[in-house]
Amino acid sequence: MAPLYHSEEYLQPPHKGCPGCGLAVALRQFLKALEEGEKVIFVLPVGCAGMIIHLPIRKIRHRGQLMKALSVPFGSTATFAGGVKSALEARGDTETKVVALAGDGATFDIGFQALSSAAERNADIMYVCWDNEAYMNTGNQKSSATPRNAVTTTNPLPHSKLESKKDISLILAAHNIPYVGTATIAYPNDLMMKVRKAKDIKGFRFLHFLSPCPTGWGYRSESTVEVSRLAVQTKVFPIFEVENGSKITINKQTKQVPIEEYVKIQGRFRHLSSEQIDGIQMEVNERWNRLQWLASYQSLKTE
Amino acid sequence: MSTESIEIKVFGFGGQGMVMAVQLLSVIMSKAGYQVQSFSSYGAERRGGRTESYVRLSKGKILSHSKVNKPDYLVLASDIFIKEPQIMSSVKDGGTILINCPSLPDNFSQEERDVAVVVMDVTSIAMKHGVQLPSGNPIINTTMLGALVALFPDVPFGHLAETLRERGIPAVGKNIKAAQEAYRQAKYGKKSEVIVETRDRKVTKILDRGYPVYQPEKTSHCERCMICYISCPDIAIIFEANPFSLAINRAFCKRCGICIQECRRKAISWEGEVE
Amino acid sequence: MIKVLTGNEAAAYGVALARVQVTAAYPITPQSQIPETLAKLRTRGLFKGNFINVESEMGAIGHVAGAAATGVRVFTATSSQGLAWMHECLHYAAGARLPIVMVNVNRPLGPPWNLKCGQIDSLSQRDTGWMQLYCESSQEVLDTVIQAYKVAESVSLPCMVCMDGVYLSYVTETVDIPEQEKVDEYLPPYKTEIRPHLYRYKLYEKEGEKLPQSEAMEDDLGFMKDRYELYVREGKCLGAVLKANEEFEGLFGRGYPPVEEYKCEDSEIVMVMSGSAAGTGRVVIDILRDKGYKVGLVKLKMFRPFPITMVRNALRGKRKIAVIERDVSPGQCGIFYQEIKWALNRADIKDDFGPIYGFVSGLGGADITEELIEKAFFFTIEEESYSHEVIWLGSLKSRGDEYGAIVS
Repeated sequence: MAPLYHSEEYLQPPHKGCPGCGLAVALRQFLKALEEGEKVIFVLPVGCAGMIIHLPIRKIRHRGQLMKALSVPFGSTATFAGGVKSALEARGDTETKVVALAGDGATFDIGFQALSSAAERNADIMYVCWDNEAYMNTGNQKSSATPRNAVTTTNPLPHSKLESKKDISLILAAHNIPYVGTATIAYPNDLMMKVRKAKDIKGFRFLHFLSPCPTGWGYRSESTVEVSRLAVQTKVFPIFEVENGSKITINKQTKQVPIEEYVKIQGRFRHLSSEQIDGIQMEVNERWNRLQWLASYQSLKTE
Repeated sequence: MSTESIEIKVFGFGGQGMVMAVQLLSVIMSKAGYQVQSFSSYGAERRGGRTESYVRLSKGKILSHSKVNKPDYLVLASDIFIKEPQIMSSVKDGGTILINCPSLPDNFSQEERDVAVVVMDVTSIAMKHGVQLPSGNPIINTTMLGALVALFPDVPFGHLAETLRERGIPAVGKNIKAAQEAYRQAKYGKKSEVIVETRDRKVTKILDRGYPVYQPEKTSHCERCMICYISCPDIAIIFEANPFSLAINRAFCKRCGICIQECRRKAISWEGEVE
Repeated sequence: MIKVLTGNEAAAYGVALARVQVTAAYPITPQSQIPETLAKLRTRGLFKGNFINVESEMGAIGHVAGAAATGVRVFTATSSQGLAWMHECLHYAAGARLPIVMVNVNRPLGPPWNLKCGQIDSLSQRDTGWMQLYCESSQEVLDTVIQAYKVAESVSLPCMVCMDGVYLSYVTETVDIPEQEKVDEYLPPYKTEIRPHLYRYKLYEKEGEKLPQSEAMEDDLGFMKDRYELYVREGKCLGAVLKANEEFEGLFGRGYPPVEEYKCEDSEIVMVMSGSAAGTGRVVIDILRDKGYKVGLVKLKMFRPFPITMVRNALRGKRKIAVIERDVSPGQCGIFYQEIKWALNRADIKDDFGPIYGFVSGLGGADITEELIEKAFFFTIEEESYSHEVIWLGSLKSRGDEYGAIVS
């Protein structure tokens, strides 16, 4: 099986990610999906991705040249990215793409207003969210991306998180943006296909990558890819695309694996009672069924 | 104005737990009747970043809030710091250096100074008692505390055990046992002599698993799917297409083990694996 | 071309003439006419830049900061609560050395909600590193916006152009709109390129621009080195303002010194004012001079960086100084008063200066009338020993206590 990707590496090791960092794998796969010599400006706030990309010196290079990456305040990623795009247009540069890279905290929480506004305006940027399901860079505090019943430092036992994970991809899809895609590192070809597709579309594009974190989720570092695979197989993290707000394509339909397989290997779920596991299973089934039902919707628009 | 304070400086890496160690040490020393102060300094919070921690102990008030520069006790959570002369020479005359390492390098010498050196393979002791993080890496902070507390004759081990219990440390029993072994080693071993912990065979297997290797004799099993390559977070897998070859670049490999787990053909395995 | 414009409209004309490339704004009373006018000028082809409505002031400043980091000329405008919303990004703009020009319509922050006039909003941001220029008339607003681009782009620092809410923003005045060709001669396009070393807070720099390179996260002293560079850079602002003003005056026949002395040469008493009320102050100075009092006015246009030498020169040797301002730092005193006191208090020179009387007036849009200014003047000359932190100037019903006197 020949690889779909070129051998160019944009991320220059060594970087400051933990051993087994899922975000680093996702970042790497994402960068590999770009064309050789693609003109891109990255806009990113602090977070694990920021650490990996910027410390101790800029780590994204293409053919020896530093790639442009703007470091912005935490809640303003989408806003700054929109500004960069406006400026490029004012400069007459229609070629350079603007890519916002942010974690789940900066996307689901503090940057949500900016994100929704940029999506509503259909700002011509591609927004990539690495989702490690908590504020990992500051030591594993809960975000609204943290799944139900997970334990974090701000949700220690017995107060594991009561609320469900915010369904960010469907929320963004409801803004009627041209493209929404979810992906994860266990399915690199799918992830890279989505990046390639999204990068050439005009308007606001949102990519949501599940990036397992061994440090925060509490599993051995070698299982990072396995955990992301289980997330898809248990339907905790469905892999799908939404085009123009209504056309949903589910990319991975596997035989469903019970949720126990996913939670039992993660320290953040070790405390779960069987009632809680059943509760999570029910919620996962519910969301999956709803997604399938939405995917079966035929748009009223005629092509 | 802390002329009467005992000053301790700790060097470690993010993930070793030394930042928490000095917080625990404060509580332990407070039980022993000291006024205490401890704080840490580090860059962005992440694994692998260097951490420095400072502790002051006094029978009177502690006023200074600046970093400790000339400690009475220098604690090195990793032997990497031995190579830095400005760190090694920072300890006061008459002070003590406590180092976590299996054995001292040959050219190591503190003879020209009146400094006691305690060397202990804290990592092995921690592993032996099963003190580790869910990701499988050993966590040495509580064991290290055992060794450090032993260097203070007026501080009984009981304060350490009590502190760990009060803190709600998970698997506290294992932590206390490991700390106790380190405590005994440090207390009854002679200063300025190298104390080397002989390693358990089981410990050897986990610690010395070494780097992943792409086994040449198993190449026929490799289907060249490139999953290992595309799943590596550190771009540590290098390959040539024609003729096909693959290798793990140790300059970048962090030994996370993803490639080993993901390879369906078991063409990559741990170097030190005992079959 | 002579037109009759409000302060808000004048600001928008300044932006259009400066050929600003990217703007973003969020409406807030009393600023809303600025984005409205820009939108109108755009439809008429007089403003050729890009204008977007954003979802909040944080969105506005973020958008223009991102654009400024990509090397284009930008603008935004806000007031009061909106300026506070932007606070984090204000620090960012100065730290990143971005030459953003923003018009702030001065209005206080509530509660209680007040939609009128007060300078506490911009003064609360005095530690962010932005230059601050206060305007007295709509003409000055238009001209200062144009000058601000020249200054900001020469030192690579952001500049806030302030005008009083209601008293300037809504007041219609005769304004001479300069010709586009002359403005183009005065203000060339802002040209920037990507340079080899990349500063991660600003991607495009102009030729010869030197941005600091310290990496503050990994280097213990990195942040302090950066702030030293910023300190030195701020020291160049006054020179840039003076130069820009001189060139403007040469080309357009009118100018605005950062510290203006009005009839101060032989004055014994000097009143210091800023903003629209400074105009009223000039009228009072003339009235008092007719009555035989030797009094002058110092109009403080530039507040940040504080033009310390010019202020000292203007106030040296005067028998008494009275500061009247439209703000008060809660529990403390007026901020202009505080800064002037600092400027004159250096141990080796403080004996050159007379006592300063600090008056607080006009908060929340209360009118600073000629009568009130005269009252402040007479209070100053009649009160021999100065023993107040704040003198409240206005018809307030409650009694003053030991911290402040009420003059009403």
